[in-house]
Amino acid sequence: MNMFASLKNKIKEETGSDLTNLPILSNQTLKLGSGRFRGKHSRQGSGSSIGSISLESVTDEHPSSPLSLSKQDVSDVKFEEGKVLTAKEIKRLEKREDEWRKILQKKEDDWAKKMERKEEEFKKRLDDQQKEWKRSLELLEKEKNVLEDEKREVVKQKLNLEDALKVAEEYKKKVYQYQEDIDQLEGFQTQEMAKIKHLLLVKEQELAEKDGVLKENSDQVEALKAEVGRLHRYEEELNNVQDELASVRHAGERERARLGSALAQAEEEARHLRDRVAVLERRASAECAALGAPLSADERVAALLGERALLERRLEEAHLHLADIKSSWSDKIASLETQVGRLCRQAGEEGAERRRAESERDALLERTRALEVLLERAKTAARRQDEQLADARARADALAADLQELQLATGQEIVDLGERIEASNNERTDLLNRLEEAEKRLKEISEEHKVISNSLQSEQTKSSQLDEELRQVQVELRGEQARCIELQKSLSHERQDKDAILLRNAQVSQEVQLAQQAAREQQRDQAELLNRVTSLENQLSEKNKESERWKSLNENLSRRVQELELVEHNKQAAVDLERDLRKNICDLEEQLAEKNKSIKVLQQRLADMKKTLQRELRGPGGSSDSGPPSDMSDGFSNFLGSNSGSASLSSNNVTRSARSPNLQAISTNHLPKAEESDDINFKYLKHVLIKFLTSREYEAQHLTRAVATLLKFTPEEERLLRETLEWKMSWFGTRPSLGIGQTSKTIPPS
Amino acid sequence: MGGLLSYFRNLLGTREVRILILGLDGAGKTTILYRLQVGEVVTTIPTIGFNVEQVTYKNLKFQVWDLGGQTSIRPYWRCYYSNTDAIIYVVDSADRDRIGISKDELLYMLREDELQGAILVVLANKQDIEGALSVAEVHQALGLDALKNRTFQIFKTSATKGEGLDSAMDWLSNALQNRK
Repeated sequence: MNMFASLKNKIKEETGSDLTNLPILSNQTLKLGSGRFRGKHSRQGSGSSIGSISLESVTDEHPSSPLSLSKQDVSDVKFEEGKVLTAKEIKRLEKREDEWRKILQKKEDDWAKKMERKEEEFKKRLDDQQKEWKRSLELLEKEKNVLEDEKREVVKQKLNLEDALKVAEEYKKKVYQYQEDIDQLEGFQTQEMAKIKHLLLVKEQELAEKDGVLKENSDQVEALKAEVGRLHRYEEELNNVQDELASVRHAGERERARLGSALAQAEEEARHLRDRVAVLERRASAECAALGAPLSADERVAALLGERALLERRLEEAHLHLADIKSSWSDKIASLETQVGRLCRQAGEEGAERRRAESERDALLERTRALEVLLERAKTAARRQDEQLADARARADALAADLQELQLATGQEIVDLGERIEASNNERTDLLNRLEEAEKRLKEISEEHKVISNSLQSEQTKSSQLDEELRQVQVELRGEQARCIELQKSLSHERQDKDAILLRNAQVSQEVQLAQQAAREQQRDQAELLNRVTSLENQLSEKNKESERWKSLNENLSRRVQELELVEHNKQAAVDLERDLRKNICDLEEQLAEKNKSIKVLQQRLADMKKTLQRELRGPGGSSDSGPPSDMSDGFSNFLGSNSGSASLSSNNVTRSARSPNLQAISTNHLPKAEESDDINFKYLKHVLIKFLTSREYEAQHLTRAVATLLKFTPEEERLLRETLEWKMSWFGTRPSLGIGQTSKTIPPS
Repeated sequence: MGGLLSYFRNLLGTREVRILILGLDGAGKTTILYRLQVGEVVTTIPTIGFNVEQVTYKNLKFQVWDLGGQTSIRPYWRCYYSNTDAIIYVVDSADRDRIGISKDELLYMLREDELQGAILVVLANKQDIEGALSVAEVHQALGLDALKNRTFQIFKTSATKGEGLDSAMDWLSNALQNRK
């Protein structure tokens, strides 16, 4: 209320006029406006005027009950203004109010409708938008999921990539290491390459040098080859020159040989001339002598010189002889020395060697004699030469005569010859010298001769010594002979001893004979003893034989004992066997009993069968067939009766009983086997058929043959069976024709 | 269904290997069959008829037919000969009396045209029994030396102890694979 009052005051201040109309107007307008503004307010919520605010607050307090509100407003107006309104005005006002309310309501309804519509629209829109939003949300969520997945994948990929990165980094490191290694290796390689290049260069230089050397060498070789080519000609020339030289030398040697031979001829001629000169000189001297003039000393000297020359020649010859003799003597001396050696060795031996030595001595003596003879011969030769000299003197005398004759013709020649003589004198002096030398040699030789003779004398002394030794040996021999005599004496002594011993021997032999006789006696005793022994042995052997017999008897007895034991064993075995056999027999008897029982059962069955058969036979047969069947049945009954065992037999006739054993025997022989086999065959058939019927077609197929053979199908039936089985197994195909009607092999399908 | 399966198998060309176990009665055929299949010794009764079992050995599947060996049903063996890949012929090594019959049956069987391509494995069974014939003796007694144009092998076995069967099956599976 206070608020209203304040509000009125404010209005009064502002307008300064009465508010009678205004509130109504304002009410009206405000009510309209409030109706309008309510909707607006809900959206806009803004106040434009003060009245509106006041009215709004009123209307807002009771929006649901406008009627009561209007009444309150009226009452309020009454109270506030303090004025009394007339009923008509009130009615009018109420009418207006109603109208206004109606209009308001209408408007409100419209507005409400519009609002609803709008709200619906908004709702729809909202829904749509919500749906859209939801869709978008879902989409976004999906996208989000997708993105998350992608993110995960990305993370995974990232992880993978990180791993890969790590790996790659490791690889990188490794690669770096490898690269470093490779760089190092390359460095080493380059170093080594450089070294090798260096070495190569050095080698190339060496090669180049060697090439140069080789070239030089080859040039030299070529030059040398050229020189060699040049020298070949010179070689030929050299060869020619050498050949010429050889020929020239040969010729020179020939010439030399010729000249040598010429010289030798000339020397020979010179010697010849000298001889001639010598001869001529002698002639000249002889001529001089012949001329009657006494020979001058010179001439004599010349003659003597000539003689001497001759003597010299002879002396030389003698020298030669002596030399020969010397050589022979030296040989002989050597042999003698050896013989002396032998003699010295064999001095103690017999006179045979001494004789030989003596003979050798004799030989030597003979030789010395021969040498003496030779010497005498030489002397005689000298004498002859003397005689020749005398002859030569005579000739010289003759020649001197010639010379004297020639001296006249050859006066001048004599002068020359005198010169020559002088020369020859010189030569003579030379010859004299030579003679002296020869004489010296002679003396030496004679000395040697003396030496040899001395040695001979020494040999002779040696031989004399040997003779003495011989004598000594002979003396020894005599001594030996004396010893021999002594020995003979001792021999005789020993013979005497021997005789004594022989005597003793004879005594001993007698004793031996005595002993032999005793031995014989002993042998006899021995023989007797041996005889006894043999007899004893015989007795022993007999006893042995007896013991053997006893032994054999013993053995026989033991054998018998063993045999008896064996027999006992056998008996025991036989007893065992008997027991076994008895047991077997018992078993067999039991089996027999059982079999008899089964036979009885079977016979009963057979009897049943027979009865049924008879009934059947009688049934359809009637009276017409009664004759033979009765016989048959009689026979049959006989047969069966015989089979039906002893129980029925006992009640039957004697004839039947008489027949029965045979039949029984027959039946026992044949029937069981047949039955057995039939039984097995039947069982087999049953088994196979059951298997055939219960197994699948696939397995049954294998059994068609068996079934067919068991049931003795015809081939056609077997084929049918097989085809049917195949048809059953296959999905398609036609059923084999199994015949129609009575011959049909199958049940027609219903 | 089984028929269909086998039909498909047929179409695919993986035909099962078909093996017959033959031999005189009491040689141990059924024991060998179940030893091969189950790996154990089972109590058996005389087979009047036959036994068929699927035997898997080293990923190879065999359909093994064990045919009864009694005298009266031996003639029916020949009903099963077609499409046979291998024959396991079992001999009782301890049965010296009937080994001649065993030989006759074997030779009679091998004369069949349908078995010309079949591999033969002879098992000298019951080697665990004392006094049993050795492999060589069985070999000689069956006259296997005279066999020509036939891949065959003889093994000594003891079905109750399970000895020798593995080597025999090894050889047989190898021989079958080599043949294909």
